[in-house]
Amino acid sequence: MKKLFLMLSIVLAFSCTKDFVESVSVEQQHAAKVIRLSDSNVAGSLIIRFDSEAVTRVEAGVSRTESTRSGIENFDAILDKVGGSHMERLFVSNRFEERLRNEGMHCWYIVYFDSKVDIESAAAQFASVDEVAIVQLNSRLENIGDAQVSNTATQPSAAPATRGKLYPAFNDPDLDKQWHYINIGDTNVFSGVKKGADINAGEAWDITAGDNRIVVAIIDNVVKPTHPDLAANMWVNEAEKSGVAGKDDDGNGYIDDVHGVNFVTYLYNGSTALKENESDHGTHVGGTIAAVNNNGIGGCGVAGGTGKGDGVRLMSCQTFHELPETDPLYNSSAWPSGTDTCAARAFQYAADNGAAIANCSWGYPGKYMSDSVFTPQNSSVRKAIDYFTKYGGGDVLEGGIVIFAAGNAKLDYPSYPGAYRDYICVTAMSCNYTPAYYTNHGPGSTLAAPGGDYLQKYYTDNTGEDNSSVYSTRYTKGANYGYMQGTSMACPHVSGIAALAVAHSLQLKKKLTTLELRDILVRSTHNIDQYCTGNKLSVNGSSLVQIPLNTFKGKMGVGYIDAFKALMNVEGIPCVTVRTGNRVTVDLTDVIGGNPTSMTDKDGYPTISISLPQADRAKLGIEGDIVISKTGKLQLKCTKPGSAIATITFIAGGNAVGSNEATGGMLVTCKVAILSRSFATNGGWL
Amino acid sequence: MAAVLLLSVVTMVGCFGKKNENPLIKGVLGEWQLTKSPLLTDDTADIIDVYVEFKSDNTFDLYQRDFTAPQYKHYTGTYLITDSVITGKYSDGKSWGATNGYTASINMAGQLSLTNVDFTDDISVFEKKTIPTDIKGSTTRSAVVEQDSHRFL
Repeated sequence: MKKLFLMLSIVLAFSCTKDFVESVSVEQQHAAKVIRLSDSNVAGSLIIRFDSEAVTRVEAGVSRTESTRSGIENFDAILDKVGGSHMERLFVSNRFEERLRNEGMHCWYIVYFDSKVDIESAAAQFASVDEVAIVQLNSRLENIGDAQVSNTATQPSAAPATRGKLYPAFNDPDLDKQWHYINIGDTNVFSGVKKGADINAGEAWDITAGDNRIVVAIIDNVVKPTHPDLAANMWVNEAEKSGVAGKDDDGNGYIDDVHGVNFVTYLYNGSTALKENESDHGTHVGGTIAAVNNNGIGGCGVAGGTGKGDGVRLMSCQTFHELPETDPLYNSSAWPSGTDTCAARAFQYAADNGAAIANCSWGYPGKYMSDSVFTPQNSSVRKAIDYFTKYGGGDVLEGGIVIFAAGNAKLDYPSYPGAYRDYICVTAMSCNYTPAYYTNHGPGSTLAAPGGDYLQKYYTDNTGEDNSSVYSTRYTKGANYGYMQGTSMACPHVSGIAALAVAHSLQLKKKLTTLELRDILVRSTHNIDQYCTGNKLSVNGSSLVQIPLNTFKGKMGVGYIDAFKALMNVEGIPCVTVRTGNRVTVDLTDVIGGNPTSMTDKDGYPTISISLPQADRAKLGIEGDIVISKTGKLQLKCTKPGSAIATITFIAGGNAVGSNEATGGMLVTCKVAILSRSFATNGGWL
Repeated sequence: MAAVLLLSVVTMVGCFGKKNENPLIKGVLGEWQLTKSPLLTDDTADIIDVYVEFKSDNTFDLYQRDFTAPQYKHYTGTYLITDSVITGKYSDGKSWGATNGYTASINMAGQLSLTNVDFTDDISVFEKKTIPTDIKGSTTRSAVVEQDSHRFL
């Protein structure tokens, strides 16, 4: 009896312990379902991902657009409790419904409820429902260029009597202000300007200036479609333009979307109409990519064509819509400007409507130090980007490519999503090659482009002018043009170059993949670390301060981008010529570009690995090791004539590839042809 | 092997004491395209493209899809045939890569074979081919454009 009692006690004790453990585990599981990507979240709505079985039940009681309840008892009880008004599909059902479902996009919903309910409390309650896989707070994104926008809005210059001095083939009068395309060392820009601190647009334009089959989605504020220097390069949804007003003529899920969609008002009241608003950030960004070239007005766009209708097309995906202070909705938590929901829908729209490149001059303002916050299971925006990467590209690219700004907070880590390991994340360079004082940098930063630095002209030269910022299209302050600075301005330079690269691939009858294009951009860079010396002016609060530039060394990504080099990399694989019988040293930065010391291997060492099959080594009679030095110098000796294709692998933007443990760079591989022969020293075959 | 007629091995002297011209001197004249080389493989066959024209005034024009730029590059220079060996230099003063020249031969099929005197594994075989006018027209001149990058299509 005593023995039996003891056994029962033991069983009971174990049973209680197990229940306790399970209880804690369930709470943890529920908490783990709640995803926060920012400290700033929208009140009154949450993004819900149902598990794939439950969503069938949800859909049984819900139309594909909107409904008041889910049909899941526990879930609807919470909706009642939090004053739920309705729920709708996050990813809009359209003519691509089958692939949306194949990708699980139909499992994501937005639920709306009383905005006075504590958002964390509501999220926790919804997370307790078994059928709910994820509850994502609807985060506010930050448009990362307007934090340091200079205010001068410049009137366009009168048409010049002669062609511009920067690129005589184009007659745009303000091109001479656009040092960021072609920098001739004009001290009107800044007394310390350095010739060549640009994207080398002129040499690229000699080859191509765009192609109207390429669509670039500007996920941002509105790109003003009637702007005189943009109108001709706006993407046009012909079915909607010539269709019936109030009807979704092309079945893409949106009504009357001629040049794009205003996702903010669409969420708020169903209107797709693009709207000018308090910020012209998107119009500035759009102009950098595709202001019409050679049209006799204003400035140029990187891929704005030659004035013959051949500029790339701008699709305005308006995800930010800032209201004036006088608007009743100003600062309202219900106004969905710049939210996850807008961004997620924008990427879906861009993919479904043929965009190849998505320019994303924004990010989450919060501090995240690993990729774990940004998985397709957790994040609707990540899910949408994956969809764009897979299905975007239209007819010109196999998949879509996303280009992000690093952020302007002077931090030594970039903002997500740009910091995610697979995305191009752009830091900002100024007109003398130095890092812009505001630019975020560090692991996860892929490469640099001109973003301007208004302190150089305004304060260092003490002129009160903005010439050292980036000049592009605007619409505020009664002017069509003006200066802005930021990684937001650097980002569209890279998007424009990506567009030129795609245009050139089309010239060559090639169709690049997203991955090929991404690696081409990374390899089309020059060393920027050499300019990270000395000090420069920055701001700390309201004070001007000097900051040491060596803190940026090795943290700006693989280098600053070169448009011409990108086009050359589209042409074919790089080649290393080796004189047979000699041990030779080849500077790989000519081949793969950038800052060798930023290209660190997977173990964190600043080296580059090269892979050459043993059979090829034997064929070339390679003696000794193939060595790549820390500074990117390849050394090898071939004793036999021949050729072989080697694979070079490196990490761009950090000491390690980004992971769930830490933010890091992207893994880049490229093919390099090694040619061993007794070439003449001038490269001649004989 | 029997099909190969080595025109260059022997410097022929006529039976009647009359000095005969080296047949290689006339044999190399014309426009040629590279068709075989240790460097031409499945990976590079669509990449490496080389044409050469040997002219009777002992000058040559070389067009190659260049390793320094995607477009064809145009080299010019002079050459000299001595016995079976052809040597030359470029207009910019650079010597040919085969500093001691190439042993030249033309086989029965009309193929011109150039074997590096110092690296006999390095054999370039050319076939008669008119150089396309678009290649002649789209080239950069090596003496003018000196690039140090390394790239080809």
